[in-house]
Amino acid sequence: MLSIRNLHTSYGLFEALKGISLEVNKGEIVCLIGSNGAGKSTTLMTISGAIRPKEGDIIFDGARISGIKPDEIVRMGISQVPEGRRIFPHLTVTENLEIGAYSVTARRQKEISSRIKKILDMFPVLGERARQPGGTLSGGEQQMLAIGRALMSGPKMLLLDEPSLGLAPIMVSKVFKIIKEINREGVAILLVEQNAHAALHLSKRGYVIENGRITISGTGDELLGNDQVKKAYLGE
Amino acid sequence: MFFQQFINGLTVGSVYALIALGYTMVYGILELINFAHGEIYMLGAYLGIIFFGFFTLTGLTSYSLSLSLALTIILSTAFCSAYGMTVERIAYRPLRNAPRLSPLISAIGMSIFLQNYVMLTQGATDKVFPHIFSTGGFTLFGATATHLQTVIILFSLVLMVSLHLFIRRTRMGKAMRATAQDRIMASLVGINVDTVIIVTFVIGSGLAAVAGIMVAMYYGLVNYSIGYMAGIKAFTAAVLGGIGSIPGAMFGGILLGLVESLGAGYISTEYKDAYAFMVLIVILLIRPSGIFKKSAEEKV
Repeated sequence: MLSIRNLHTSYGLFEALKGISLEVNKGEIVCLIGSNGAGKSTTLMTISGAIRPKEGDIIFDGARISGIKPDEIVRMGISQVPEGRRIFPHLTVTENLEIGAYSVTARRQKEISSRIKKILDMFPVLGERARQPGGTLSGGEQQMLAIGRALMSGPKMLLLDEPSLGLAPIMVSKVFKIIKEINREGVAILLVEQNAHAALHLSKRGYVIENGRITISGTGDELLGNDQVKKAYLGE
Repeated sequence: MFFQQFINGLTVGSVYALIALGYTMVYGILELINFAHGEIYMLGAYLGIIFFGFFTLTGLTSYSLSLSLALTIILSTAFCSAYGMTVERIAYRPLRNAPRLSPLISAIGMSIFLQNYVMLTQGATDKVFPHIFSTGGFTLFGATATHLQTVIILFSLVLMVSLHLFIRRTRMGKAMRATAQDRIMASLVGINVDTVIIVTFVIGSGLAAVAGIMVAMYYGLVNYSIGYMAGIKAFTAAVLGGIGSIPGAMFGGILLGLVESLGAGYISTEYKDAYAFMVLIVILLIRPSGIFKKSAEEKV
């Protein structure tokens, strides 16, 4: 479904990605683990089109999407929940959800309303806060809103950047449960996480990224059993 | 005298508010002070004179004055919007990811270019907009609001209310607010940020065009340098209200007009231009983020 080949991305002279290749198949949860500054967020931002790659290909559903603008990529079916959630602080919760469906044509207002309803069923707390500005929500609520907003475009694939960051443990397990649910409905997921343990348990396959290169890859269980991974990312 | 100066101030203030909206909207989205904006207003005044003159020559004005005025406004607005879009396309978009000083310098360059362009093509002498409104008006508390003043105040009000509804209620308005709050995230939810920026320039330039035509009618005289002072004052108004805030720009513009007019009436006419800047200094000292800004983050 998503296939990345030899992807290079730079910020000025600094090469953040030095030739990354990875695959996400239909219906899979794939995680990308690595330490701070390894290039995880850069990978997601490059897939989303917010950063232009210097070299390499990103193929989605058979079409080359590298170098295409972010709004077109959303329209093709890739949606991102970015690091730090990036809720629009002065839009209400409802407006945040509505803006998530920006790529859905305005004429399909009914479709938008039914999606909002579905998301409010999934996250009842958002319904209680519908008229509140997004910036007034707690971290966990913002994370739910960010996931809900990303689902509003009806994506085939969801990119999640550190959804557990800064959340209370009870919230973390809730978020991971939700990710599993979304995946069960057929949405492929590429998950970037520092919480390697939880991420690997959830994922079918995983990749380890270090200094802009993929160093280890395998199934979730393989990585959980890998000595190097254990030492560096699982703290065992 | 108070009410007379109040009406005069409200008239000028409405015009400042219309221009200030263009500054504040562009700043809200690009964090750029569009120094060429005053020149777009000046172009609006010139285009108004040109189109109205054309309709006078072709006899449309004697056939229907209101039709020719409406057409003048529509055409000048369309031309100014095109100018605004072009300025964005050639002077700002290529510098979108450059350090902040670069687009600022580019903006000053566009301002100088447009002034000289008008001076060379239209001449350096004043141009006249014919008197088309009768001199009478309404009398309120012993003060007179001329027909033209009434038209300026009401038309500005209609435009401001429409803009407010557009920003609050429409899909594009929501996209503009989202882009102002987080441009990258806006693109990640599927908003075409380039389109939003173009729409911002089109609306801002259109409002400046209307302001230009109204000032041309109000004072009757126009020259290539009027954009400079009007631009600085409207910019002051935008800062006064809190740059980036739309209600702030409206309020700041009207407040500035009133201060100027009352200052001229009660203190001295000679320092008319100085009052605006005195108010600015006071605001910057006691409330640097502007009157309407709730936090440093609130924009559009």
